[in-house]
Amino acid sequence: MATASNVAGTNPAQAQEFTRPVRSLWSDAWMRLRRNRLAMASIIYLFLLALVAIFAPVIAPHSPGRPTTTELRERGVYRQAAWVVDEKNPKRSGIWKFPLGTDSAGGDVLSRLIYGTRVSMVVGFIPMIFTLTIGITIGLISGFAGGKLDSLLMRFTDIIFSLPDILFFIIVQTAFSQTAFGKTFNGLLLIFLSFSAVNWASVSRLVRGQVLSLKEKEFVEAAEAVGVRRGSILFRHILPNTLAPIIVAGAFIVPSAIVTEATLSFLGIGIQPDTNPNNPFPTSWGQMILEGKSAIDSQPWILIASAIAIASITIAFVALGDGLRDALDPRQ
Amino acid sequence: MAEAPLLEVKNLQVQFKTADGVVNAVNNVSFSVNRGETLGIVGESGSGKSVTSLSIMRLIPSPPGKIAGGQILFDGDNLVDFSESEMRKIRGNRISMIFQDPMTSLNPVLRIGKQMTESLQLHMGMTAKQARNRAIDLLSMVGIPAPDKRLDDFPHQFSGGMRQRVMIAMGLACNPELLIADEPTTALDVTIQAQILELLNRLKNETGTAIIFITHDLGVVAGMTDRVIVMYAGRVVEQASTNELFRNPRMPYTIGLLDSIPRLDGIQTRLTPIPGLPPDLLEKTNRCPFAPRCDFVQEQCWIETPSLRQVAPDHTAACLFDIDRDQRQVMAEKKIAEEQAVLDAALEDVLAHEQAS
Amino acid sequence: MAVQNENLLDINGLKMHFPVKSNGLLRRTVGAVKAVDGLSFSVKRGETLGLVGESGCGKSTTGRAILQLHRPTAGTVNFDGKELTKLHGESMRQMRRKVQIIFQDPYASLNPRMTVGDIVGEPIRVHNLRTGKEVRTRVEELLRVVGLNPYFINRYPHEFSGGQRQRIGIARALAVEPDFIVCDEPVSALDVSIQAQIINLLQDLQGQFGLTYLFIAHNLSVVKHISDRVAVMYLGKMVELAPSKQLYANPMHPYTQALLSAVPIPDPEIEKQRQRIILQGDVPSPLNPPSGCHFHTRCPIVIEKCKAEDPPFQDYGGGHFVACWRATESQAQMEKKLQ
Repeated sequence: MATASNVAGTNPAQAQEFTRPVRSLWSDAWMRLRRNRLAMASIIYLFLLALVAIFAPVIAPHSPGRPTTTELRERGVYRQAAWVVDEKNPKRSGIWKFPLGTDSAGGDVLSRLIYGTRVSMVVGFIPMIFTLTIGITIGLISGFAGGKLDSLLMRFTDIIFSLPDILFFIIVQTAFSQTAFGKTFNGLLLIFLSFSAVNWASVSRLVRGQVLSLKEKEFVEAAEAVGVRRGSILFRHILPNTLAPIIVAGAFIVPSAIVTEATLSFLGIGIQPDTNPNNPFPTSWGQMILEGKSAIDSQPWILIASAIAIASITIAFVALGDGLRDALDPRQ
Repeated sequence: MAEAPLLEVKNLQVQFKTADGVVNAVNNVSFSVNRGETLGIVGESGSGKSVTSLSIMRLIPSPPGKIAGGQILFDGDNLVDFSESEMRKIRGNRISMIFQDPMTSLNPVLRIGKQMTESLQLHMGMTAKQARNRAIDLLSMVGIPAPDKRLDDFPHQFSGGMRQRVMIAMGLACNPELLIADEPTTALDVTIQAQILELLNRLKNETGTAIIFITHDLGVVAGMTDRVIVMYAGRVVEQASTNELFRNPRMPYTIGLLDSIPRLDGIQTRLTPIPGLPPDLLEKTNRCPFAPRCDFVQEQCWIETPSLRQVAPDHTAACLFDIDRDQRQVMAEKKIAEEQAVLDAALEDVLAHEQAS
Repeated sequence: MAVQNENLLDINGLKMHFPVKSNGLLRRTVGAVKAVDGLSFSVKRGETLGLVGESGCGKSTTGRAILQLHRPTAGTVNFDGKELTKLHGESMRQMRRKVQIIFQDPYASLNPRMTVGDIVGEPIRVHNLRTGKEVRTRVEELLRVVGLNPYFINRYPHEFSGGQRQRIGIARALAVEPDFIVCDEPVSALDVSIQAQIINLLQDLQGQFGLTYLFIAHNLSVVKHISDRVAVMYLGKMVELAPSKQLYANPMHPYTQALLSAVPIPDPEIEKQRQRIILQGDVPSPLNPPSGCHFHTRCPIVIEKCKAEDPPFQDYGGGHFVACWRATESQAQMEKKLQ
């Protein structure tokens, strides 16, 4: 008979085993992530940006819309940032009421920057969700079903994958931006859809690869051997084990979507500016870069501030993505 | 006996820094290898046997690893103090190593011939032509048919057994004084293992190279080695000549290992396993590392780490007590009875407590 | 051997060929890896049948083909009167309660994202063997049976050592109360001192629950220890099958003789006196096996007939099956060869 001493835990030396808290792979990953200072700083920064985006109307010192004539007189146009003194043109000298100065229409640059956070946040997250949903679904079906369906889906994926994406966006934007559909949410919906339509391909390839390797794993065979139904095998055994790389991929989709939106807006075919003060998405950082480029001599801070904003949010997401990868895949 | 040993490891200490703390992978390990001798190092995963051999080659990845103390005297020189460039003159030349998985130590994009001649030209100062001829000799020596043709093949064109032969040929290329074989047959099938072991035995007699043979397989040790050290939890726990160790094991762990393996020529109806698990090398304790699994355990074992002591001529063991294999069954039964008594007492306590409330 | 009708499992002409596809766009079938190439044997109720062979001989594929994890290319697998190769869908799923498998790699065989309780409880749930809180009670009971503390029910696999993980895998297999378990190299990934624990556990469980095992391994000492009968495979075919003691004392196939002589024995004095039969060369590819007897390319006592004709797998008395043209004289011939 199995003796008492065979039972793990009855040994005095292993008594400490009992006091140790349960550690799932997720909690282990979270512990590793917490030790990564850069990733944690990024999380805090992004959390703050999210707050800024949500509470933009409260935080922004001025309305993002077109100023009234009286307001315009006070603001001036192309007013420099607060710490810049323009002796030749006192109307352009910076004042602290408009910390980052004003733009060509007298809009407060800081307020626009604050509202611009909203666009970057939604333009990062919503396409990520679309992309992941399409990519995961097609990847799972393709990898799990195999055979003809797999070949068919993968050829289709290859076609999508080989599309030159920026060219595709430009064509879509120029073709649809003037339609009613293209104008929904200042054109954001169109950007979401065109971005997701191209970018799911890499996710579905990733997921399919994961599924194919997991299908060969002994624990999947074991589930089949005890009579677990195919649906349960897919959703209980395979899907949870593909999540780690999917999360990492998701973290990298966000900055790429943000940069895409900025690029399109910079080309003048991104979201459409709106001076209506009630529009929740009146402006984007990409647009501000475009405007700042033409005003580089008179008011460089439009360009500098928006460029810093885009660069920092992108870096934060990439650092978070790297941190997640290290945390979720500690093999190195 | 009069001759100084080829290799002498003294109080070797190797540590690894991990996220959970410092792991003492090798703890105060001392042993020596004489010229022409084959020393077996036996142990399970985590026993420190591979780390020890990598330390001799100074191949411990650093960080996280570190030789924290001790000496490795090779032919009188302390390798611990050697610089990387000095070590490069030793590695592959005077000491060489063969690994469990030859595929990881062969470069997949270079032809076998290129990989073999490179070190010959570097260490032996041969011309390209001389090196090639020597490589052909070596391959035929390790029993590879048509060596002049196979020299131009890539590693993946060889089978597992053939690849291990190539590794052995490369290991012996510069006539090393010491060959370290780290589980060289573990990944191979039995019939291929037999081929490789026969080859190593033949080469040992022909070249007189000293060999450190690292393995977990006691059967392989029995057939291959002159002397054996047994490692457990980063320590040497027993050391003796091969005959002596198998005839008269004196450390409970060695006894446990010998009793727990089924033998092809045996008639055991039931194996006697070693209960429990190997210890966590993170914790620093002053008890005997084997105490929690030991059938012979006494009070003293929980408060004192035994060091190697002489138990018979040329036989040392790290056990506080003079024990032998025949006592084990008696001790094991006694221990189980004691544990049962403790459990019964606890149960009675619980019952009494329940009745009271 | 009087009553032979107590077979739990009857396998006849089992073949498992894996098609090899070309790399081009059309993916044409260009050949087949004949992993298992015509096996016929049976497993008696309550016995342990050992299946040994070297890597690539098809022993693991055989286990999976019996369980229908790979659908056999040809042949029949009759389990307790039912033909498994004909079962599909729900009837196959129900059948899985009766036949189980324990895997080699205790690290790959447990889902890293599930707790021990979920892993062992899953078979109970999918077959509705218990409901509600009873599932947990049953899981705890199973953990106790395999020598694990039920306290660890909420832990994840990576928090356990190899041996403990293998116990979890065994508990999962036992959860459906099977009659037959395929043990696919259950101890070869474990440390020596842990192997004996698992072997003893498997033997205890067999006695306790009246299990029948197909024990697949490459370690002949282990197989000999645990098995009542042992079958030896080479390149997809069975070359010898005999009661354990008989096979080890009197091996009749030259391959079995070579295998046995190659196993190192942990006794230096015996090792020094042993004479090894060292086979030349490597195992040929199962993609293109040799003609006649598959072993003829490496056989030390090969004759012309072996190259042309495949020897029948034939009973030489007392249930000692051998597939060799020189079965009766092989030992004497081998002896001569060694001198």
